[in-house]
Amino acid sequence: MPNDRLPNDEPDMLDKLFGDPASLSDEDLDLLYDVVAPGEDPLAAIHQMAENAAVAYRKRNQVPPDQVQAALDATRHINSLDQASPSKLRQIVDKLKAPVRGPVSDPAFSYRNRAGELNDSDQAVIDELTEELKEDWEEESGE
Amino acid sequence: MNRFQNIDWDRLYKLLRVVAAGIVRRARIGDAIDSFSAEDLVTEIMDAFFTSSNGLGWSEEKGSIEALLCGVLKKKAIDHLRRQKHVAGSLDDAFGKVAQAGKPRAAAPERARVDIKARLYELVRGDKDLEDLLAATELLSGGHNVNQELGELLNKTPKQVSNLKQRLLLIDGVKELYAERQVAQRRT
Repeated sequence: MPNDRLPNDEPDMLDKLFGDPASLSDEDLDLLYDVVAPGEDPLAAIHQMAENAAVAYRKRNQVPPDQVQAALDATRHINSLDQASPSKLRQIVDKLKAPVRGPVSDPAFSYRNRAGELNDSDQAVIDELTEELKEDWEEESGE
Repeated sequence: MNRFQNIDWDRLYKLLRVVAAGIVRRARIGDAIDSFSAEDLVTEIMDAFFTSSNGLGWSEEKGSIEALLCGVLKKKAIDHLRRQKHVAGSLDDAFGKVAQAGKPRAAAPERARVDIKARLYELVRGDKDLEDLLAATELLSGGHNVNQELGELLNKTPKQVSNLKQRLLLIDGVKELYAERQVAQRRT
């Protein structure tokens, strides 16, 4: 019967320290990726492989399958938002809307993304910033 | 609708590279499997995925694409080891005869694990925080939330644990241990 286990498949100390890679946060995964592939652009690598596959399909007069097309669309180098696909635009918006982890320079932004209730002090800061913004807009529209 | 359009390709590729580096590291200290590096393994998996007419049959209902491709990655690594077996010995003895081929010394599985542990302790000697981090790692239960568990053991937040790991990885010898940098050096 064929052996379907890798020899030495038990986790070593580094595996234990970092845990299951599939469960890593994006931040920790980035950290490890920078160690194993410093300077390597993942999207460029995916694009190159998808491009190679697409060329092979086209040489056989076949349309590249969905996964190749999806990879090409998602990893295409974008110079302006006019060229971006709806899914790419959605990804950009999602990333912009995602809560900021760690210290932020704009307190209103962190309050806006906090999960719990705002207390009076939080509300006062937001009201103050809102007033400031209104004044700025009024000044701009008056010019 | 294209069922592949929501794949996070950036994360997928990074994950495969990290998983492959771990497989190569565990399979043989300081070398690649069957002269395949972690990068070669990932390229092989992605080629298989792209050249498959149905994306290896993946759909969201069957689980994550990450889980599927990590499984394929492991199978490919086993295939490479099997091929190596025909050249240099038994797969079960992969750290006996096979490991000796072209290697200065054999690395038995237990020896390899002890080596990594000993080398890590050696590399962080004198840095109490990192020594504590390694000691706490030995106590881990193997749960999913490693940073949380380490944080509880070290009385730190998960973020502080993550920062400690970052500090650990900044040590050159540790980087080499994790990344199998010897492979890259041999190949360039």
